[in-house]
Amino acid sequence: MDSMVTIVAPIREADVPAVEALLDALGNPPNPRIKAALDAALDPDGAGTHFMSMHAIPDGGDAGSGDAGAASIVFEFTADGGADRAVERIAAAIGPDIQPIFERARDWRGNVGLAAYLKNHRIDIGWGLLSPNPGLAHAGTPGMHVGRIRKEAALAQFVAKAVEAGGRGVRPIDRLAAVRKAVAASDEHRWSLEPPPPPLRDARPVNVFALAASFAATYLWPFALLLGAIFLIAWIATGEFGEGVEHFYKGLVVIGLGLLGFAAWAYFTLRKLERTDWTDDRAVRADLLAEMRRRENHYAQNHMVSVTVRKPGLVRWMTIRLIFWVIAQLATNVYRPGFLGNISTIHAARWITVPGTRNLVFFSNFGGSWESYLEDFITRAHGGLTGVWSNSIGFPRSKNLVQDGATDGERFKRYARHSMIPTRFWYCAYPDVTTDHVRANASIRRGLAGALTNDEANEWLALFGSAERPESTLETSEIQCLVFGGLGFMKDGSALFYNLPDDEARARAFVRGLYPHVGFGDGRKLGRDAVLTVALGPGALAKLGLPDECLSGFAAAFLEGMSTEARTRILGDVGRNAPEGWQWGQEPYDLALLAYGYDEDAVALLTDAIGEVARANGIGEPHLIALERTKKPAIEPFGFVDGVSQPVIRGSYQSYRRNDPIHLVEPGEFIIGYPDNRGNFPPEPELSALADPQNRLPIAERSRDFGNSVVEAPRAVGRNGTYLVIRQLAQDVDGFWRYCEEEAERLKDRLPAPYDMTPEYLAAKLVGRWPDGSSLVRNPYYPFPREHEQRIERRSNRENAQGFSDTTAIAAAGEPVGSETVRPDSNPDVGTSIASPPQAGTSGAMPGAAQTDAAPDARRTVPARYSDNDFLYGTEDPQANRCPIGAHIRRANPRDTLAPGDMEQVGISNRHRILRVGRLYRPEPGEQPGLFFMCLNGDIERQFEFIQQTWLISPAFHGLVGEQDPLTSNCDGSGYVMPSHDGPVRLKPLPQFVKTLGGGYFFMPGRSLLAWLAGV
Amino acid sequence: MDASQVDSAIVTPPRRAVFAERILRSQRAQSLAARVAARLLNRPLRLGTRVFAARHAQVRELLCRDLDFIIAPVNEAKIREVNDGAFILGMDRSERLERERRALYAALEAVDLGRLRDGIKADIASVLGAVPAGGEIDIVGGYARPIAARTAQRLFGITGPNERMFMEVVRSVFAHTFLNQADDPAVRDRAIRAGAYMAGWFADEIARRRASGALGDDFMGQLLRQGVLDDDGVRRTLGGMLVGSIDTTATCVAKTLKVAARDPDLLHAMSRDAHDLRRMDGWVNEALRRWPHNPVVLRKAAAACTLGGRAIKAGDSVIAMTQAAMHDESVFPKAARMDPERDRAAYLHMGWGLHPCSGRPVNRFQIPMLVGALLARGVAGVGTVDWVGPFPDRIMARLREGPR
Repeated sequence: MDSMVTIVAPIREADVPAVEALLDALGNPPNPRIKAALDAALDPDGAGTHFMSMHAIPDGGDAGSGDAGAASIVFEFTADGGADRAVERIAAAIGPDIQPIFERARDWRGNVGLAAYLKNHRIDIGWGLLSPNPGLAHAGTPGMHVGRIRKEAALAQFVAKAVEAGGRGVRPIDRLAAVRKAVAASDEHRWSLEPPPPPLRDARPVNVFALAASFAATYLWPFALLLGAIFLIAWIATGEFGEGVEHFYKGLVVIGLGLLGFAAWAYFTLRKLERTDWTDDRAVRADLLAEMRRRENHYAQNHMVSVTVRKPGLVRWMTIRLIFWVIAQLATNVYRPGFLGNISTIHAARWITVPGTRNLVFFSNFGGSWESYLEDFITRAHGGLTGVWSNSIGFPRSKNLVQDGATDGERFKRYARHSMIPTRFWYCAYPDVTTDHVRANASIRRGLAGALTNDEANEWLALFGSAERPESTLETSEIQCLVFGGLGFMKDGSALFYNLPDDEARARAFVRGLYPHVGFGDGRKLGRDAVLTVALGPGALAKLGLPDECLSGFAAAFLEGMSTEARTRILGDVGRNAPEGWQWGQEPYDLALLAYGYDEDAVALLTDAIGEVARANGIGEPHLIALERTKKPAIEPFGFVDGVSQPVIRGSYQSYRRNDPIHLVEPGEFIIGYPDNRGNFPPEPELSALADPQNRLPIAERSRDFGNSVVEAPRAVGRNGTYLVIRQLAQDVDGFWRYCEEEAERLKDRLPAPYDMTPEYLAAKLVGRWPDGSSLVRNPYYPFPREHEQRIERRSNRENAQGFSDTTAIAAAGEPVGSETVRPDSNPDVGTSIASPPQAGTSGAMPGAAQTDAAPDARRTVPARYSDNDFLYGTEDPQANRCPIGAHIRRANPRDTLAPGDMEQVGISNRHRILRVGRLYRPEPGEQPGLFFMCLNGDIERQFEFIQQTWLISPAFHGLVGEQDPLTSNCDGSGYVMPSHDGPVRLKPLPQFVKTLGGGYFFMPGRSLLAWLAGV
Repeated sequence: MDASQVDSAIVTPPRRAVFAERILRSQRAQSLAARVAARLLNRPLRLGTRVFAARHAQVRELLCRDLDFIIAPVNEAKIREVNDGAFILGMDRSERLERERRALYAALEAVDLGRLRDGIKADIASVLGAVPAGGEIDIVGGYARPIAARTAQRLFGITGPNERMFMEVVRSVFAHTFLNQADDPAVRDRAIRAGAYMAGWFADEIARRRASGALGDDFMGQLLRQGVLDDDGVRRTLGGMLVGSIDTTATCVAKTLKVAARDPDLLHAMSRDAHDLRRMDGWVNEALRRWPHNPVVLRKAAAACTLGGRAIKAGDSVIAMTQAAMHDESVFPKAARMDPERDRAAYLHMGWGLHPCSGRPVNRFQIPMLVGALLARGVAGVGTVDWVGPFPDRIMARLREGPR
């Protein structure tokens, strides 16, 4: 698309109908013979004519050429190659058909020949002071030849079919390879495997100096000449060079002031004119509209031609040129190639001024309908359009040249329609291809020949009906499914820990055997009864062939391991929690496998299969930890509903159901390779491209439309992976409740009503929630009233019956249950609703407690369903009279405690959140029950370890003195203060309730890395 | 030809370089030009139809935008002439490049580089073992070049009739393919003749292995075993790779030692790290910043575009000044200082983008091993460089200590 040629030939006004009749014979759509001739008129390099139209434009009323009028034949076309070559090509193809039209011209001389006549009548448009025909041309697909557009369109159709034929479960790069094979076998399309041309580059960076120079060269040169003349005259007249200089400067000042004065005058004159200019609200004549509509919407593109008359006067003479200059600079320096602002649907458009007249004619070949095209301008480019068209008589009222005008959409459309004439002859070289198609087809070709990596192949596949993946959009099929909610719907499970053999081949063979069982993706439809989660220790990564320089890119905490001396101090694994006393994990395991299934049989089948693969590769028996069957809701052994407060990953299914901003976090907080809450991509381990010769691993850089190669960029091996922290925590349930009972008895008279010092109350004060999950912040004296629960439950049941809600989907282990959707409608703290408190029971159990099978020692009769979670500590309970600062859940996620009401503080707290996916382990007879705690982190040090060290076990957390987390800390004798309206209540030193039995840090790789490690 | 003879028609002859050539290839001139360019060329510089880019970011961009800045007009014809067919270093991005490139790197990745490293170690020990304390050694012709040649023989699976012939053939082909920018017909003729030898050796060896059924586990064997390329493709790939494998190594070793010898403090610091391969790799990279084996990389502009704010016309020669880019203070802070702990990823010695040196997995250990082993013997002095064409051919060095 190199030449946008406009040819203007004068005709008599009286000849307009005759010319129109001839144009009608050519047709819009063109008659088949004309179309075939033009379609075939291609040069060997594919150069041809993209669009062509011809019009008989009647006099605009300003010609002053007597009775003849100033009517014109305007022939405009967009073609490849130089203008002369384009004219010759057209003349050769359809010369005999269009010559009769030009024979009507007033200056037609039969002896010249059509091509020469056309060349002689080609007009140049521009925006300079001396440009007689102000105008502007815009090409939507610059650099694209007709032949190329057609060939690439045919290629895209061929490839789209070949892509579908690839079968299922094929890597993108292998699917692309299959397509290439199909293309190579096609004589028609084999050419496309050769090196493709580069993509059009984005606009050059704006260079203010260059713009200023361009402006000066376009509009200020007469003044420069004048200054030069002043200088020379003064110099010559006086014979003194200094006099010349002095006059030059004086002239500069005078001219400068003059220009400023002129600009001010022009502006105020413009504003005055804009207030008084005539506006034309007439509707188009019905017969003309019918003529136009008869010719529209035959193709994917349409054509329009509008004829208006420029307003008279010097100001409009100047402003039309200025606005063309501005648009040209924007198109060159700011907009993407082929775009006008955000508008990408224009194939070719131009404004011209018919020579010798003030007729301003607009031609456009655009994709889609006339209505959508004008709507694009009204909503997205009204400034530029108003800037040009407001110089025409009758345009809707504008302001400051570019404001208002086209924003008055309906009036503007009426004006545009009224100004249009029917396009009687119009040709389009590729009727079914829009500008978007042209660009997409070019990308398809470029990717077909030039995509070298799996990432690029993936982006290439997105060209077929999809779109480029935004960087924050999750590649869910690459992420192990445990990330998306703990797989609570697979109720049975086991954890298996293995060490890999030193022999890399055998280690890889083992992982290869595991690979088919691993579950990836977000959602429940996994297509099998049991799935495996694979998490690797640093030892496994080394044994499986990751080189040292890559390994060193993993998190330091992960590489060092949980049981090293430095980390035990961070985690508080000292004293009774020290690794020396652990049942497992003192020496880190290479591999942690989680086998989850719908039932025990499914899990057993899976673990048997794993065992077989292990034995086949000389690997011994694993350390096996049986896990309890999950129940809904999840209740931990002390009897509290667990997993109420969880962050939600933006972009996961859950985030569309639960999007409380307090808990919504960016994917990069947990999954490597995505932006975090601050918008940054955390550093990740990288592998040399040499280690990935098949180019299957994710690439650390992105290709821009296949225009730059990324094949040598490092491999982002961490992408779609996450760090898994595992800790087996035994809980002394009897000890916990015994302590609560004894302290309740000791303190029973310490606080007045409405305080009721029961064991349950004290336990809630230690935990931060009531056993049913309701918060202390919102329910400071009693749990969330049962009658409210029942009412909400009834409503929920109704909704379930109507199919509105799917609470089961989030009832997985470690999941909150409908927490944000329901808020307590009464706050006992202000006395609006008081239910009977539970009565103290015996044997350490809470009143009315019955053992449930949800947890071995759960002492809660009615499990909670409506745990509230949308509260803020600092805002609602700044003095901690309801939920003590040292309470477990307030320490674990202080929300806005440190800066009440500050959402930035909530954001800061969210940077340290973890995604808990733990379960209960199944204790052996005589063993204490407890948690098989698991959590996911993007950064172990910033998240799990930070929470553990800075919030949970810090004795100085938020100004506390000598306290640690009452549940998970191991320091016997740590104190605990419960603030109240009646002063602080100090509890006796707490014994250790939770003991660490083992643990480790692991990395859950994404699908690509796991496949690479497995050699799949 | 007799097994001990060398075809004199393919031997690159020694000749006295003209003054300008001597200046251009000297360390001081190259280093000065690089530093000046790094300091002054914030935007690419246009000189006629040539555009020079010196900023690190611009050089990286230039070499990654391989559809805008293409390599085929620079290399393809010469490679075809001497290799009897194409090689990826002369191809632009296409399906064929993708296939052949993938085959090459997959085969290379499958080669047991540990065994190759053991072979180099043994060769070094053998060569240096013959040099007594206070003795002299030609660190190019008597050390780096023959050892690199033996490495190449192990990797590529051919030996030629004798070692000298093998080395001369490879040198001649290399000289024309990548260094004959002036299109000297004598260089070209030698290369074409040498290329015919090389093609013959590979073809014979491939046929022999096919016939015996023992494909081998070297690079040739891995390529044959893959089955991605036909035998001609295997030959072309091996030929393209072999060409740059010997004299690049020898030149890097020679230049590194010359740079070190000119700076006693540097020589001392490098000698301290003689046994630390990782640090030695860093030192080599740093020394080569002062005097690289190749200070620029060439491309042609396929279409009108811009680079670093400079308008480029279709057909312009675009020169990536890699040495200057490695003096860009925004990437190499205190660029004049030698620091072996700089980020390895920033060096451009082995190229960037689509067409880096394919042999870099071997270079990465072979060159530091060769330099380190010499320094471990105590380099007491390094003589002047005798050049053969563009190649350092002979540099005598005196070793302070004897073999251990």
